[in-house]
Amino acid sequence: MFERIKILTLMQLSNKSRLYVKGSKRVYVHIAIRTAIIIALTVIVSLLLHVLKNILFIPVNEFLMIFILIMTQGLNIIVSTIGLVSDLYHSKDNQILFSLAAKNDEIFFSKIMVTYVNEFVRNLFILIPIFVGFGVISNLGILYYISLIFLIFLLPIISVGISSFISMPFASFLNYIKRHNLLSAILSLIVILGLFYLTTLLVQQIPTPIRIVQLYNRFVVSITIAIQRIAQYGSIYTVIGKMLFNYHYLRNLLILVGTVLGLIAINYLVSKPVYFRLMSTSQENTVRKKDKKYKPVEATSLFITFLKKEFTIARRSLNELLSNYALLLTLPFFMFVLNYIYMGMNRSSFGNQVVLIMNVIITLLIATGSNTASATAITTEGYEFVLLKTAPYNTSRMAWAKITFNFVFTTLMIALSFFLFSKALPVFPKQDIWLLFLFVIFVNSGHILWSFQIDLLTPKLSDYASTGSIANNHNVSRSLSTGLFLAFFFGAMAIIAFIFIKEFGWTLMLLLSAVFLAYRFHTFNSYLNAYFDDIEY
Amino acid sequence: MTKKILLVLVLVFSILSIILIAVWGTLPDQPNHIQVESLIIDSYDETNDDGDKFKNVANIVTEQQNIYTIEYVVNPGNANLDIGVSSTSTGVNLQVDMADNKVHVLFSMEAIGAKETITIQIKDKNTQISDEITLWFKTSDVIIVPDI
Repeated sequence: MFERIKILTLMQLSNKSRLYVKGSKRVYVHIAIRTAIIIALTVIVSLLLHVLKNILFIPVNEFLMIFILIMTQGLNIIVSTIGLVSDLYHSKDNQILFSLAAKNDEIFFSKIMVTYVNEFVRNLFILIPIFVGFGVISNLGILYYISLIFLIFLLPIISVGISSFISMPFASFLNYIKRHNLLSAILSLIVILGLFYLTTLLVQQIPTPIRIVQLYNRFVVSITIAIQRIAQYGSIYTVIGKMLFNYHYLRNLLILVGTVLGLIAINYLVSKPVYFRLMSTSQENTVRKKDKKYKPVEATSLFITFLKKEFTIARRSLNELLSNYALLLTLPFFMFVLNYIYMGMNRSSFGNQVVLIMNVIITLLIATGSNTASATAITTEGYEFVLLKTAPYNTSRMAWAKITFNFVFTTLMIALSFFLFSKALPVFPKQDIWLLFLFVIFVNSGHILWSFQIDLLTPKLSDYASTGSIANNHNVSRSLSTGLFLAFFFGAMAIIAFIFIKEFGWTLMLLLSAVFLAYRFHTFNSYLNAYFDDIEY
Repeated sequence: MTKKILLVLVLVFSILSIILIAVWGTLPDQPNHIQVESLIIDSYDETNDDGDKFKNVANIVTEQQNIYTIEYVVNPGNANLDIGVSSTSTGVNLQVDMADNKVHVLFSMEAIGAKETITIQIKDKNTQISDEITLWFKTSDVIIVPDI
């Protein structure tokens, strides 16, 4: 059993790691570079801890150590859980591994071992600098450094053990919501609203009127108190922190060893009946019972057909949808936090003007940064674009369907942001909120058309067909650059409008944005009619 | 240009905008020359004959809960304050919350284990008016003996 696990682990590691010829000097160079990085990180962490202790007067004690352990290991658990869900249940190598002469639990443990090795290497760059930095700053004894050697090996077992255990219900949950799109959408909305509510609660702790020096004092005190309090809830990490600082050393060491053994046992016992069943129902091509009541509905127009296709693609590739619009999801948070701070300060009339100008720049930066889907709309059709063009219809309507999807999604998100903003911050002038909303919608719609035009003129169909990725896509970069230009241009216009001609400030801004939208609409339509038919693979 | 760079730009602009408004866009603070008349720590269990205040933290400060918060009252409430705090032990860290008139005393594990008795002094540096309290881990049958 152990021999098979070892072979399976080495097979997977060799696929995922950089290999060197036996005896090659490059191995030593590789190790030397990594060692130098760890030493440099240790020096940086020691300096940072020195600043915390002697300049910010935050106590560098066992509670800070426990807090850092909770944060770093918590992050590791999240990253490992996401990685394990993908590796254990959705990985394409499962089809090969399960055809080999190995048991299900051996494959499970080999995958866990691969994750453990990766986690161990990652931890070397995090834990050694932090632990050694703490040891130096706190003048800790030899027992502390001996304990570190054990911990370097044990900590990854804890994080990977917890991750693999969590990954089982998490993978089941993901499989369930993948089959229920409406539930997935409702959950996403609840999560966004919940996060916004939490942000509101947190930000409202800031005392008003805001004075920056007082705010700094409150911030440092709150952080210090939070660090000390959170350390109480670290469970096994609280035990480790106390053990390292020589507090009930033997008792805490036994708890640590017991936890590690318990995690290994619980993973073995639970994975044995669960893993294979869960893995086989998580694959994309899993056979499921068809809904007999389902009847395909014929679309009434070509435009509707293309629009429905866009919604179907969005539903099937949620990750891509998220990567395109993730920045836009941060809009309500940025708007609320910043404006709460602006409103909390005792502003002069010049301050009020700066608030409006900054809102224009920051809102446009975020909104226009979320139109990359339009900048790759034709590119992501890849090889299929050739087939699409053979259809005996006016296929350029596809472009309008794609633009409509981008427009509807971004407008809904911007509207939700402004609605939450107006509800959460009633002191901000309502008229300014909704005029800013109208202005952002005009400029953003113009930018969607501009981004699509970039892709229309230089689509990267063959690149996408061969790589299947839009990473390093030039059109995305150009779309973001034009968005940046628009934010600065309209920011400059806002300075003129809100400082020099205050009475007509919003009239000028809305007029400019409407002219921009009309111009972009006209040029996009002209280019679409002139060039769409000429696009070639 | 990538989305990561754009996000960094948004963060930089956010911070810059706060600094810009704080420095040039706010009304000047009204200078306040009202001096402190009294600074008193209200919450204590007992005093000795010299009037020193004592607080038993044996059931409040534990291995799991290492923070004790001292509240002080300043009169008049709108006085111009410059608070300084000091302690008789290196086993604690003091954090002053000037907005809420609180001093958070953060005990180290060592101080909790040794059940150290610690005196904390809170002082207004402008007027030198101060008050102090002694935090101790009282064991049964202990009587406070005044200094002779």
